[in-house]
Amino acid sequence: MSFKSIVRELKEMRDGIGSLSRRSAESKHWHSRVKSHVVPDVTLNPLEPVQQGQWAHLPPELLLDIIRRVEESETSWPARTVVVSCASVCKSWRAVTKEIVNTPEQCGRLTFPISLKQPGPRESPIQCFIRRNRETSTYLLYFGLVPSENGTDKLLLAAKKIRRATGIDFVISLVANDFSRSSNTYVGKLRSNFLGTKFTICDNQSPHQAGTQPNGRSSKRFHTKQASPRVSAGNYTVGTIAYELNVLRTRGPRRMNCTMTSIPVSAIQEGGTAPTLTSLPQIIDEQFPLSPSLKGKAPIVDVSSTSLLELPVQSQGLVEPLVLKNKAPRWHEQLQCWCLNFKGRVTVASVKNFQLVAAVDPSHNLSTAEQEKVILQFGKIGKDIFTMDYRYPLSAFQAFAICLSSFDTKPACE
Amino acid sequence: MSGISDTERMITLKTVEGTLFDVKSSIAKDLKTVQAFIDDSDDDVTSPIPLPNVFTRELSRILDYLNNHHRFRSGIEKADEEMARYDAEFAKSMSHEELKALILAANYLNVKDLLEFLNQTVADVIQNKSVEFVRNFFGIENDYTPEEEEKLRNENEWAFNGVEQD
Repeated sequence: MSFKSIVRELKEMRDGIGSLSRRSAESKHWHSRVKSHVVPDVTLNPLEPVQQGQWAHLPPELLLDIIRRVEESETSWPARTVVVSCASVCKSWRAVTKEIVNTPEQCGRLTFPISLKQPGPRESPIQCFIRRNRETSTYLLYFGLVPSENGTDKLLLAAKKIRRATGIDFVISLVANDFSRSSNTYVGKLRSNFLGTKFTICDNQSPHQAGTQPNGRSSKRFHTKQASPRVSAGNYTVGTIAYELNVLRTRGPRRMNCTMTSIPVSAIQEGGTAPTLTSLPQIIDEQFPLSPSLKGKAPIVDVSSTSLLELPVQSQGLVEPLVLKNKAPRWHEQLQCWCLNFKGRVTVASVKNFQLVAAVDPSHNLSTAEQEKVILQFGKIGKDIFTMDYRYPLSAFQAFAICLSSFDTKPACE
Repeated sequence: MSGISDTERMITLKTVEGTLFDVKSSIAKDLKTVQAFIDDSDDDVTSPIPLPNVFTRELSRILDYLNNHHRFRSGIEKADEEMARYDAEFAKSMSHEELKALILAANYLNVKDLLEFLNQTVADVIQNKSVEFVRNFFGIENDYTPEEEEKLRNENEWAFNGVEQD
């Protein structure tokens, strides 16, 4: 390589353009004059250089373009499975795909299982529905507004209610036919106390995973200090839910308070972020450049979304957690009932229906708009069918767990 | 922008096999790699420009594509439909191997529009395909160990869960 071309390449890398694989040019003339082809009009994270042998002659920037096109055109399920397939082809493809796919917070789309543990979008909620099966005591969470006519809905999570001597457990899994805690599909559980007035949300992995970062650097250094992401049978409390009797002791709505211990209240304040996991414990997500000799040259460019990277180690005691409370319904004199505006997403009256907003006081400095944002909404639309709409800073997993608590209605609360 | 003489100038390109192609300079402009070479040359380029990595079959297809697209663009309004039909036929006429070879050639020659079209075609091809198909298509070796694959399977199972497969 001539000196000129090395300088040019480094310059281009610095500017965030992947520049590689001009190995084909033999003539000196060509090499010093040819500019690398770059996919225009796309803001990309520069791709880490990868070993040539693995690409079978396809330059990485082309591969990136192809995978990006696949990801962009298949945004809804079931077609989105192809993105997951791309991530399984080989390690480099996995790295590329994971780089391209944005978190639900950024793009409003669910792609990998880990998407279920990442916060939803800030502006408009992700809409799902839950189907209850009384016979098997299972609850299935699907993606979509309402059940589709042909029954082809994307299953997100499944829960099974298990009675214990001291209370009830809802075991949450990625699949509907396996609720074993030692299985790879186990993601967490909801545990209730005997009276069914207090619940604990348990995640099988620590919410503060300082693990892999997209640019692949430095995560190894932090690993030893953090709970290893490979612990699959872990039990981390990420939230608690408390139900209180309605003050009037009539058949009025009950009061809910959810303390999200894994989400700091700063997450909903201006400029705040919520902890965002990057991989499930059982899945290996190496995002290191494959060619160690090129590591030195690899540029570090900040990913535009900060929540993916910075997961500061917080000693839980010192950070004020986010508390959610249910919006108080209004008494409708004419209809003689309690009403909440579910914007059409809930159509059947039920004591289970609720809307959660942030419980803050003036010291939190939250704008009125932010205070009124419904972070989680849950309600009945038919026999055994309920809708669940959630948004930032909750994840699908947390939202589902909170909704499950609503199913465990106890006389003490009614 | 040097005027009329530009469009009449012909550039000669030579493929790996030694075949010569005479190309109008207006078409050559779309081969950005070639254009860069021309721009950088102090004198007028009169001898054939060698393309050490481009085969006759690919160059022929690329020039065909460019000639047609130039024709569509400079013609009447109906060109959009015709162009779409041409593009569809163009994509269909190639085997996967030929498609890959063409992408590499278009990438080397830096033919932006064609490359985007070809990449989209490939994206469409792998749309509903399995992981094995994608590996075969790109000639990629699976570098996961059996244990790692086992763990990845959960991810795939979840993705395909509850989704009807045709």
